[in-house]
Amino acid sequence: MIEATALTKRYGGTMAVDDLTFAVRPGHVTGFLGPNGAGKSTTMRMILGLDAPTKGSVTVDGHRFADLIWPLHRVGALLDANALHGGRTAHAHLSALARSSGIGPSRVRGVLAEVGLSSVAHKRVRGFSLGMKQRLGIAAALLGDPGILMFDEPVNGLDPEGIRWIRELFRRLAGEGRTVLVSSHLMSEMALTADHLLIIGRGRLIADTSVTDFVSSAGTSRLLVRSSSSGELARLLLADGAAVEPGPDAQIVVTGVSAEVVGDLAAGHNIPIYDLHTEHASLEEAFMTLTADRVEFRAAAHTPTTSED
Amino acid sequence: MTTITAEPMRAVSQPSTPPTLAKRAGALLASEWIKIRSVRSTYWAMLISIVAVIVLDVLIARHFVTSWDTLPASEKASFDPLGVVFNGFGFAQLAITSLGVLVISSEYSSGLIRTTFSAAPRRRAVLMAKAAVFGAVALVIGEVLSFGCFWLGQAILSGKHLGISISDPGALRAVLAAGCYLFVAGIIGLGLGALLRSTAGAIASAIGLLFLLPQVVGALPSPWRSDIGKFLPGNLISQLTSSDPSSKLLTPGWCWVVLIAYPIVFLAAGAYVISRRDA
Repeated sequence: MIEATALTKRYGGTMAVDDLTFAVRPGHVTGFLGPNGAGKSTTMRMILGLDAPTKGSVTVDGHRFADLIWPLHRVGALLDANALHGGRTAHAHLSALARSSGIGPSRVRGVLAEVGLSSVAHKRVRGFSLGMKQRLGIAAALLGDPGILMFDEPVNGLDPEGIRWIRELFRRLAGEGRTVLVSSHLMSEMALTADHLLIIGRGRLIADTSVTDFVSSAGTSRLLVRSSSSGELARLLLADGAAVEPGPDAQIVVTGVSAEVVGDLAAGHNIPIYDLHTEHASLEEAFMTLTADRVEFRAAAHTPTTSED
Repeated sequence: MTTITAEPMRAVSQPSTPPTLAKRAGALLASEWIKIRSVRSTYWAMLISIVAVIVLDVLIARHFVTSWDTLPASEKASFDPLGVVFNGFGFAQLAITSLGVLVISSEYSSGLIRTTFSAAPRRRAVLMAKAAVFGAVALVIGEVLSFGCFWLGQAILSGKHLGISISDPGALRAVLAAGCYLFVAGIIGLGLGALLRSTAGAIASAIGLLFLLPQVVGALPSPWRSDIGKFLPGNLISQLTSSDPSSKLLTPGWCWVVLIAYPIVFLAAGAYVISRRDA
């Protein structure tokens, strides 16, 4: 269980994290979602006691992180897969971390096998791909068999097989009753991985919802209708309780009623309809809509973003 | 999307009893020992130190032995059979100080320090464990080197009966001090690394303090030159290693006190900031 209360972090004049209150519960994969620069990494650093909050507090299993003794047994985290000494081997990296918390060499071999890095255990990590470094970071997080696991953008650099593996790993960890917090800036990835969502933008909490609820709310489809008498049709639809907005190409955008209702209503009033189709909003669009005014950096022209940083 | 489990089970494997303070300290020391053994920079620093010290020791000692008969009387008079064997220590000092900086700055530059602190939130304890492990390594290298180069240098010098014995007055103190200096300079490096977090910045500062500052102070008009200069780390060592009594401005006891104060002050400064700043 991770609990944040009015958690706030200010860097100079910039509010990185602004009054966040949330709880991350055991037994679920919680997706920590937000555009780049939304404050996800800062929040995770505060959970780990690395950055001191400007205001508010955050606890793990009711304790301040700094008060924990050998916290690797309680919280395992992967913040940055590249945070390694390139000259050290994977085995030496994990051994140093393990020994600092009284964890023995057999557990080091165990986690290396679990993430599939046994064959390169004694290779220097300088030569590792980003995907291999992500696996090493996950191995480090698993070392102490902790009840709370946090991963910051763990999917970056993984190949499709790795992505499937990591999703299954998260499900298994949550299934074992652990608290799993996974950050991402990709809604589509979270929809497949998480069952609960914390959505933040510009450091503020936008939504704290189950994925099921988010999907159903995002699933509201809208109707695009083109007609020679769209004004009259719009009036009739409004009277019927639908929401109507002007759309592109002289169309009207109708929400709140089904296509059948629109068709029957038009036929009943002899209104010709040239085009009527249903448009489903994607999860990604729903996320974009939700965070549209909370994006820290926006490109001047609309370009699809594919990767972080 | 999810199946509701009745009661999430605890998957935590907390150690049944909290580890004792001694166990926690031992764990941190063991961790730092693995870290220092598993990077190449440690072995490079040791190799540079050993080669520089031994090569310069042998070359200079041999030079005096072969050219002694033709040396002018003034040079013969100022010949210091004790200090002459420690000429290569400047290189060793630079190498070990840089290693001391890297012990912590490499973790900051890579971000590894966050992993370290999220496993060991007591940051000062981490710094002290680093200081203990690296300090022990630096002290052992320093003392092995200083004793080694003393025996080697004196063996060569004895060819012309110029050498001295370890039992001669001041000899043992000089050898111990020369070795100790690598420890002092190394811990100054570690403290600067914790203070500045940047490898380049900390190494540059260490060079400024250990190599450039003595030259600046040496250019001051006397009495400032000696009043300030006698407290600089390099000059403290000269006062302890030289057999020339006129160079001794502080008593050996005070030299040791000031010498040991340097690493303590730099380490304390590093410890002060390490838990106050965001990692």
